[in-house]
Amino acid sequence: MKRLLFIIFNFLVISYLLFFVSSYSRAVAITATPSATPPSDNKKAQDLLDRVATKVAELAAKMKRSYRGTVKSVGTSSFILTTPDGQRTVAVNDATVYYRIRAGNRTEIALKNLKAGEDVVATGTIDPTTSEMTARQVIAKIERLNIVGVVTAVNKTVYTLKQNGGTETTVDLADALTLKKLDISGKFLTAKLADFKEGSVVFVIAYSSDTKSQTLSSLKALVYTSK
Amino acid sequence: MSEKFVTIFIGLLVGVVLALGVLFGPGLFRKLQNTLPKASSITAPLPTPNNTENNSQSQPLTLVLDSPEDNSFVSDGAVAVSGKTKPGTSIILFGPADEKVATADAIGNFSASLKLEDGENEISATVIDASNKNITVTRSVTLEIPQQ
Repeated sequence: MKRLLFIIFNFLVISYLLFFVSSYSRAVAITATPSATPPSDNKKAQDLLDRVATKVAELAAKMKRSYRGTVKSVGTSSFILTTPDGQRTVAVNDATVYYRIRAGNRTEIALKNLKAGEDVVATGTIDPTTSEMTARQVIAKIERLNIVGVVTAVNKTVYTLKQNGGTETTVDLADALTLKKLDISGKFLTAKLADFKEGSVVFVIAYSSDTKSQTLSSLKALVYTSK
Repeated sequence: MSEKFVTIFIGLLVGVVLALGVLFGPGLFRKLQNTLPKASSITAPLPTPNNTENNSQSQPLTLVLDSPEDNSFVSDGAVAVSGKTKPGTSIILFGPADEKVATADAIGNFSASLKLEDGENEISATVIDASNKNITVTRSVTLEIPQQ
């Protein structure tokens, strides 16, 4: 019995000593460099700074935008655009420059030359609270639509394209300046209207030449031939 | 007398062993766990090129455009188009002034540069499957006219 008690006593003494030594060495390790910033903290601070800088750059980039739409009215220091997202006011100043592009030629114009109903794109900085833009450049050009769809009907040179979502658009390919075909190997080749067949996927840059007509005119067209 | 020394020695030995076990046991156990192969790495091997191919074939057609942002503008004559789709898929990039075919890499990323014309450019990125089913994403990018 005495032996057993003696063994337990020794065990407790040794455990206490080892625990004490271990705790002391840890405390020394922690307090050895109390004023020095651990490298991991420096890295975290740098990461935080980088994230803030990235966010600031992203916000600045988001404020630089373009508005595209149709001119609704023109004032002396601003004009109103009807865009796909609603009406937007575009403020102008002495630094704003205006161009009109017609048949590939561009001419510099003035604010007073902008007409209601004209397709326009304005680039500049947007006030995030009012969505008002201060434009640095305004370009008047007939809107060109990028249409991708499957040919569902052909009537001479007029093609009906079914786009994703089910919208059907009719396009006259007779006026297209370039007709190309893309074969399955990824090569672009010159195409004829006969290559644009029912069931094929067609890409068209088109515009509305006549507001009364539902059929769009085309500038260029590409057909994807999977066979 | 010798019995007392033996008893002291045994007591010290047991005490040291148990104390060391209590102090360093958890750390050693963690180290041992890290050196052993994890269950997930045994049951799920890393994807090989063949596996990637098989997975990509079963994946549905998808297309995400990261760049350019819609209604953005650039001053250079071209815009970088990048995004993600099914690995190995061809992406048809089409705009008023240029058209290109980009191919997605093994993880589905793609990028290409597309020339622009002055003013607004509506550009599209399209992926097409064998049955001519396609996904198209369009973006409006304006090329500013350089100031004289």
